[in-house]
Amino acid sequence: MNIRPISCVLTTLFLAACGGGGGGGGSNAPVSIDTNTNAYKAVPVVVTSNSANCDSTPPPAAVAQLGEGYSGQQWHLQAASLALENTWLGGNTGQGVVVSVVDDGVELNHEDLAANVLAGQSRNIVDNGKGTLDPSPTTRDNDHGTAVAGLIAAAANGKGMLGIAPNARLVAHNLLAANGSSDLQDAAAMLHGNAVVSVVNNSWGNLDGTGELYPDAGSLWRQSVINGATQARCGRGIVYFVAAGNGGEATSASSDERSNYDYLNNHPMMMTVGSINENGSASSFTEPGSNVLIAAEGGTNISSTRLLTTALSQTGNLGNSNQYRNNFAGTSAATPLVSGTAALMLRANPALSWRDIRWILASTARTDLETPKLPAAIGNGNFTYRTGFGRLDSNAAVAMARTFPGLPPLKKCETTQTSSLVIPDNDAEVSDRLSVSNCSINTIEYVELTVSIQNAVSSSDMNVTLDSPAGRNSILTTRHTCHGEPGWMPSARRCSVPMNPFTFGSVRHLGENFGTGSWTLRISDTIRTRAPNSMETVSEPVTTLRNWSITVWGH
Amino acid sequence: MTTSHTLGLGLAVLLLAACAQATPPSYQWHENGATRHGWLDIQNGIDTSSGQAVQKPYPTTSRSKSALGLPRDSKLLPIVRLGPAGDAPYLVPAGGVIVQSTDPAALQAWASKRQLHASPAGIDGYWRINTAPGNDSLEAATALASLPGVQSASPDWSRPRQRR
Repeated sequence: MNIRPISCVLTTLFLAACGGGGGGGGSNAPVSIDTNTNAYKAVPVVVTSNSANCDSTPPPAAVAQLGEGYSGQQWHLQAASLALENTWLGGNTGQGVVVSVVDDGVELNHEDLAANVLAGQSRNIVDNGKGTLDPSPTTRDNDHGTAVAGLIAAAANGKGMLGIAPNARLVAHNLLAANGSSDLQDAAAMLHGNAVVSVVNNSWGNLDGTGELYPDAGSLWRQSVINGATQARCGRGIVYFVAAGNGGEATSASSDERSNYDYLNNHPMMMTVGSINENGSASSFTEPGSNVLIAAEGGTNISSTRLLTTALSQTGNLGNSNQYRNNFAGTSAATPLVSGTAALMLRANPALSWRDIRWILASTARTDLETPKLPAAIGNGNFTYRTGFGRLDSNAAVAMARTFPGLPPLKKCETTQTSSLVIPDNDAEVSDRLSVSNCSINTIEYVELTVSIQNAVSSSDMNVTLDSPAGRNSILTTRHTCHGEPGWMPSARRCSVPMNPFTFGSVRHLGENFGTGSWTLRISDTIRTRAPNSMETVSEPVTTLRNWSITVWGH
Repeated sequence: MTTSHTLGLGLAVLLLAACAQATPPSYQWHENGATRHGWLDIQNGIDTSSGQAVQKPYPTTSRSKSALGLPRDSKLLPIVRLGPAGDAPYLVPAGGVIVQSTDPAALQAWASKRQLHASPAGIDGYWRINTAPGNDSLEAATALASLPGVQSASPDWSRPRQRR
């Protein structure tokens, strides 16, 4: 009588276990791998002195004015948005500042970009079959980088449109041209040309919309950004921006994702950019996160509100050679507006460090329409998870940059605590406290939290929040659903990447007094249902917080 | 009853054996001073000729490769998933091992013994060993982690990217 149930139990166990480990494979996105050439061999060392991006004399004034080509249709440049004309007419068009576009390549001889391309400094990182110095796209699919480059530095040449910094110089690195990149290539893209490059634009990231955690920062990439930010530009650092991601909208193929799930955005020296629409509301797709610094115009899903920019020839919808387009949107579009603004700021004051840039951008951001507003210690006094400290105000940032004295030197304090905090699978919130002692930081700039949680079946039913001694909180992950990669598997599934360990980053505490109290980590493991809208719950084992650490960066 | 018992247990053993084959083995590597865990997916892989993910059944013969439209001489790489689920995000050991080490002489000795080469990765303290893609890189990273002076040894993963 008891035998049948035993075999049934075993069978059930088999099905359950195999379901979790067998493979499926249907959600795999293609990854191109070229085993002969994918190892970029010449990762550059960091140039720390006598480099053009910190020692050169600022070039003379150069002006630009709206009116050429399609610039009247560039709504993000008009008076109601960034309104940069007075800055340009005052002689600051970003001249002399070099911005690197790390993307899928840039059409270097485009009529509106060629004049600003810095010859000999771009690199064909993933080998598109052209020469070492030529990352121009070879397929129509690689049209993204050309659009990004135009928003930064389309030239004031009477043709087409205008970039935010119409006389900044451009270099390109085609990291995305193969749909997959290695640690060595990632590091090369962050550091190549560091004797001339001042700003690096990253309108890319790990896969959006899956809901999964991406904990796997390559050690070389991570160190390359640290070296670039602390050693290049005579120690003032390269200014790195990264897009927040477009998985913020809960749809059948997306999953209310947060930018905190991606290691690229959690890096303490990367500045994450969100997107707003023409009204100053957060774009529906922009991912929220404690690491979002600022938001800029990135359009919406509505075609009339997308941005006009340069297009890879024959792929756009405007111009004789279809070399312009008016349909570019996303955090990919918002990020180059901030990169271009950074070029204007560095033209106004070349002595600024990358941390000064972050501080000024947050200090001058305008209040946007996103809610709820949370109290912030800097700028307009508000922080939201989708727009950070607010809406980009390029003119105010450039004005503040001119006379900004610079922040004191960067310090770092780190504390690790072992724990045996049990996290029950019943929605109940548990907490642990940690005191960062013997730390000489007075003002916080960035906080990293690393947690190691054992035995978690899923990370997506956990809520994790960090409270500062001053009582401001950073929401780092919330209960959400995972999906297959967009277009592959729209049905919901369990997220499986563990937080063991996982490192989150938060810029939410920028400007906050370090204080003397403890940091509080709050975790809850929510009850999972078998399917969306189902009442049937899934019992999961109790998990344990094994250890956690906080790294505070500040001055 | 006895027959039913035997059949039941036999079925269970068969199922468990099959299941044991399907469960991906855990794989560890070191990055940023931490030990990371992955699940080596032996049922799926990447075809390096086409760049496409290969689904089950894993094609091992020229005929089965041809049936899937793969070149007969294609090479298949194992993948390491970041979670235990079969559709979790994955990394591909693309070739080469990135090593953070304070003892480059030990690295050079290790590499030359295997007719490999250790070269600077461009950042102080980091080196690259030119292992072949796939298992060679996974095994080399595991072995290198126990060498004196090694703080981190990771296969040079290829990561999927997305324009935003």
